[in-house]
Amino acid sequence: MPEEKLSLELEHQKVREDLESLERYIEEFSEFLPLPVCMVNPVDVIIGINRAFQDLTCYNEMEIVGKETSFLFLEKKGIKDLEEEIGSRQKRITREMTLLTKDGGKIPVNVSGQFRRDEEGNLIGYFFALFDVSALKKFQEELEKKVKEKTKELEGKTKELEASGRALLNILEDIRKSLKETEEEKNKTQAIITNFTDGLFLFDKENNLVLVNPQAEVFFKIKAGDLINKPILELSSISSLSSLAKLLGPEIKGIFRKELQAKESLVLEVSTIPVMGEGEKLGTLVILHDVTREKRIERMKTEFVSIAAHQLRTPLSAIKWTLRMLLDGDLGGITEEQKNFIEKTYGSNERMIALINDLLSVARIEEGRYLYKPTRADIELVVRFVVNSYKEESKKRGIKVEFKKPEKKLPLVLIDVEKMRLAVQNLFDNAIRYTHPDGKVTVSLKRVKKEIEVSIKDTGVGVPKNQQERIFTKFFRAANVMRMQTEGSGLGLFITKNIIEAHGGKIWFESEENKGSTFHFTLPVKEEFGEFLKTG
Amino acid sequence: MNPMIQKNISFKKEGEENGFSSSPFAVAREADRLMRIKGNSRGEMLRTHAIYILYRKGEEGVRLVEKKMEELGYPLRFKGIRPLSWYPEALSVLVILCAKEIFKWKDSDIFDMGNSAPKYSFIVKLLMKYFISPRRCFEESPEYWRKHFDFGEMEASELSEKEKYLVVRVKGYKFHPIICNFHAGYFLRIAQFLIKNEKIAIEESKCIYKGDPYHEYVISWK
Repeated sequence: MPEEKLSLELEHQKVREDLESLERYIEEFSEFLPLPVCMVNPVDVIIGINRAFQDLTCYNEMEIVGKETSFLFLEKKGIKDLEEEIGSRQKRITREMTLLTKDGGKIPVNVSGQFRRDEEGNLIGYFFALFDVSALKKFQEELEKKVKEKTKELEGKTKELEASGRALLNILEDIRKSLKETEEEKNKTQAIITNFTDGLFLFDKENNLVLVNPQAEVFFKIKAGDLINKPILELSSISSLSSLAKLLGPEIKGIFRKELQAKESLVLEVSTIPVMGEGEKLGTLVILHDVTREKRIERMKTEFVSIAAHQLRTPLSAIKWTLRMLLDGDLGGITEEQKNFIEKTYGSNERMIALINDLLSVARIEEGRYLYKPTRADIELVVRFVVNSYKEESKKRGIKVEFKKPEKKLPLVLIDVEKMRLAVQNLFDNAIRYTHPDGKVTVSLKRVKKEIEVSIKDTGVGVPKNQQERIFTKFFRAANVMRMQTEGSGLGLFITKNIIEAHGGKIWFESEENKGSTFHFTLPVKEEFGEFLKTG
Repeated sequence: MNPMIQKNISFKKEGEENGFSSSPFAVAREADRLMRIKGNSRGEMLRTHAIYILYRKGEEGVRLVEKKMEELGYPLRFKGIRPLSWYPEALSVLVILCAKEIFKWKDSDIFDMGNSAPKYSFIVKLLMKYFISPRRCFEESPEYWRKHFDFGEMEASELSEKEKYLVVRVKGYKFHPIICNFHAGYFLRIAQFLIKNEKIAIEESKCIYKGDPYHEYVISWK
């Protein structure tokens, strides 16, 4: 029996040792385990914790064992619910909770719970493990924050994109609208061009023909398709277009308006207009206006005036000489009263003859056959002759006349003396006629480079500012002179301008109402008589 | 320490029971007397003493107690203690007396020492399966005693869950009256593991040192 007791004692001893080894193992394992773990009995009292649990909660075993779990968590009811859920679902449950540490910290943790049962299946408590998810939480929060920021940013960008999209759509819509408008405008322009009664040629900036409208095709009997993109120089080789090409010149002259006898029965008024775009010349538009009918009417009118004037001049001359004879007493004596009447009639007849002469001059000017006797002459003599011929008249009107001789002898100029005398006379006559008594008329001549300049200055009524533009047009008489003198055809300055310009000269004036006017004209000294000779 | 517990425990005054004393000289005298009393307890009891001293006084505190034990002629190294081996219960009582003397602990500290011991007792963890209800625990208490001591016995005397009290008796344990406080704290903790009530209290209603045949503890709650 003592042997059995000894054997039993040894066996107990061995079991104790094994149990102690197991306890040490559990102790070491518990110390090592980085996961905070606690054991809880069925009534929710903590009965054991490991080192990691102490480290996380900052409570030691003494402080924590024996207490209810709820003091460790912010969610007081949460751990109870978790225990109930573990009990009901019979499996490990994890729930996120907030751990309250001894130092007042709040750590977000995932609490995983697992029930414990004894050999008979009785619930003997729970294991709880805590996972510190603060870093994860922080990361998650930062991630969420970033996601939120990015989302916000994206929303902003999306809004911007939407706005841009809307703006683009609007722009697109505007473009569509503009395109439609442009298309409509183009169609309209095309219709205008096609149906335009004037002929049109459009040249690009390299002077290549880029557009010909149907009317231009009719004028010149050409096909646009054969000519498009051809340079103007090439057009001059086409017989129907040669005269036009010559008129336009190889570089196509800038703005101008000239007549072109395109064919026997076709007179065109050719106008060129530069086509500009953003300050840059894009090309030239040539407009061909058919003036054949106007020219014909004009010619008929001129011919009528010319014939009528001629027909009138003959009887007027007969009246003139008859009246002269009556006044001179060649036909017998007349009473003083009769003489007065006849003198007035004679004066009226003279004015009518002058008017007829003016009309004839205008008709000739318009027919282009006005100048016909160019000779080398001294312009000073011509001017002096006119001034002298008005000596009596100016004296009678109480107007002082001054003739300023040129400083040097002037060279001879090629002029139609009779017409030049008429031009000077028209200017001088106006000066005398529209200057009040005690006024002054000054006539001067001078050499300016290659020209001779003649000036006739008066202290007369002047030309109203708003009428100065029309001074050289046919039949124009300024309002102030019409009040002074009912006589006058309004053709004098028109004729004068044509005479001066036919001589290759220029005419202009300065005038101020009630102070006076100065008319100037120049004549070229040497050659440069191309136009003059042609028209002469 | 829970003041409610303190209020319900009438701590014995030092040296008042039958000539027992924990004064410096008395401890030296007591040591030999105690060591002559037969009866063993598990090494875990000594170990939980060491843990409590460590918790309250640190390594130095543990060293001082070990030194005192050596001075008394009963050298002890806590680290060498094996929790499930049997050691003279007298050593356990002597350690408590040494700590009380060295650290000038009061009876309330001894009560707290007993109250804390189950928190880190390996045996308690092993026996945790009994702690599933007050009744089960109550019923298993004699067995629980036997797991810790090879002498004496615990008697589960009375339990009224309705009236909320239980009575346990410790028989055959007579080492030193200081242990009455230690056991009161210890038994209360076991009850606290199962009865969640702040107004739980323990009272030693009978004491062997007062002439009673056994120690009797009444644990009540509201």
